[in-house]
Amino acid sequence: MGGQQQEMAASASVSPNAKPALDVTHLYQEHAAFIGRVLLRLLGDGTHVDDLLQETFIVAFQKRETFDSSRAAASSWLYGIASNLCKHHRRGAGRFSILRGALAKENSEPPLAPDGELEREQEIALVQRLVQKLPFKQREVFVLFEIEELGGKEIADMLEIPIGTVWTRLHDARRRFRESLKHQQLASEVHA
Amino acid sequence: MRGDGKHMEEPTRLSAEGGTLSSLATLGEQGLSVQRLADNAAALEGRLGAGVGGAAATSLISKLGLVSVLCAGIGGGIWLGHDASPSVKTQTIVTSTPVVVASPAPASLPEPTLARTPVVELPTKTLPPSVNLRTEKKSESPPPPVAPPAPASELPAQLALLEEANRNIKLGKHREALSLLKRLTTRFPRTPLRLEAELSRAEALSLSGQHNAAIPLIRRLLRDPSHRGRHAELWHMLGDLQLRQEDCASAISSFGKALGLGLGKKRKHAAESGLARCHATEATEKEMEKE
Repeated sequence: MGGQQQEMAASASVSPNAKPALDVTHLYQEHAAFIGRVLLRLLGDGTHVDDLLQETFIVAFQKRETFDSSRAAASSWLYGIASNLCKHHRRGAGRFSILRGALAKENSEPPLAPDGELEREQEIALVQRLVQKLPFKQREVFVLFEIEELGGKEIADMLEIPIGTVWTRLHDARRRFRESLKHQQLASEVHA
Repeated sequence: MRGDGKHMEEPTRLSAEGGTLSSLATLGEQGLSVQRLADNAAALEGRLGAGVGGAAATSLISKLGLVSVLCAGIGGGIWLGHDASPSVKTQTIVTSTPVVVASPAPASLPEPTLARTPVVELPTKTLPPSVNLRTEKKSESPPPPVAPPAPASELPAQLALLEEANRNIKLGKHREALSLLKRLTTRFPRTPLRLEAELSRAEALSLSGQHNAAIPLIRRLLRDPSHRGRHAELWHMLGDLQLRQEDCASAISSFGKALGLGLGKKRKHAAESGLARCHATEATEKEMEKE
């Protein structure tokens, strides 16, 4: 992005009284991979991930004056924006996602002789599916702790909740996750 | 785990238990590809460069931007990645026919044009003076003549129709969606949203079970070079529809093409499953024939 840094940071219409522009390009370089990964895990893959990733940085640009680096890390601030966007996002809004979902259901029967790699991919897909079934508040704690491997304190800061609430949500999320996994495994054994 | 969480030690992560749960750690390693991050950076840059408008408008415009980036990338567009960072590269697609942005440029504009496809006619908006504009060939001649003010844009009306159609698809009102899409292309035959509208139409037809109409439409979209960036997706979609129609031979070919063009992990898995189903069905049919 290099030479375009100032360009991206300052290229939207800016009011003359605005504070010096927060460098959105820099923020993107530093945090887009993390935000993208979390969006992917919270909502599943699709064009909505790209939409929400871009929207996160657009909102960050629009709200750049509210960002106080002494109070919150940029990653927490950006995650807060992304999380809010996720809450308002209606699942399945992406192009073809409905069709893909319907077709994938039909075609999700495992092949007759799956090799090890395919089995592994199926396991990963199953885990991803189960994560997405969790209620949103539990899901985000679960994703941040179990998948992103952030610490409890970091998650508490990011979500602006007490650490006790982090553990409570994680506990509930784990219980649900384990139950769903057990249920799925039993179902596939019966199916086999 | 309930109780006084403040004094609780961090629990061990589930992935440490191994087995299926180790997939949680694997998921943490799988993020958006560098290419996808770069595409999003380019689209984001475009959105900021165009001025941040209504969320819906910008969302759709950016989608179009992404489509064009994909199409142009495959079609031989020029990539001007100029970032030393290994994680995120910015790309600028310069079309063979640079398009002058038809908004009144301020007198202090440093360089003349920003070539980006597609150029969507936006409500008249002045480019901020800080934008560093690039062009395929830097013009040394005097600044270009100021274009006359653009007429009132019809884009909002077009977007409204497309969005309403997509909303209807989501609600399962496929007939209404098809009617809205028809209205969009009839009222605005030169709409820049044509690609999106065609894809939505294919989706609505497929979902409403009109496979006989959906399949030829997808085939036509596959012949249209504008959809080149979506070919893998379209072949996959076609394969699924053919599988539904129990046309295994065609489905095998379509899935093969989709996989050959390269699909994302999830879609790749779905296409492989579809392919395996086709092969299994064919094998069963052969056995039955033998018997």
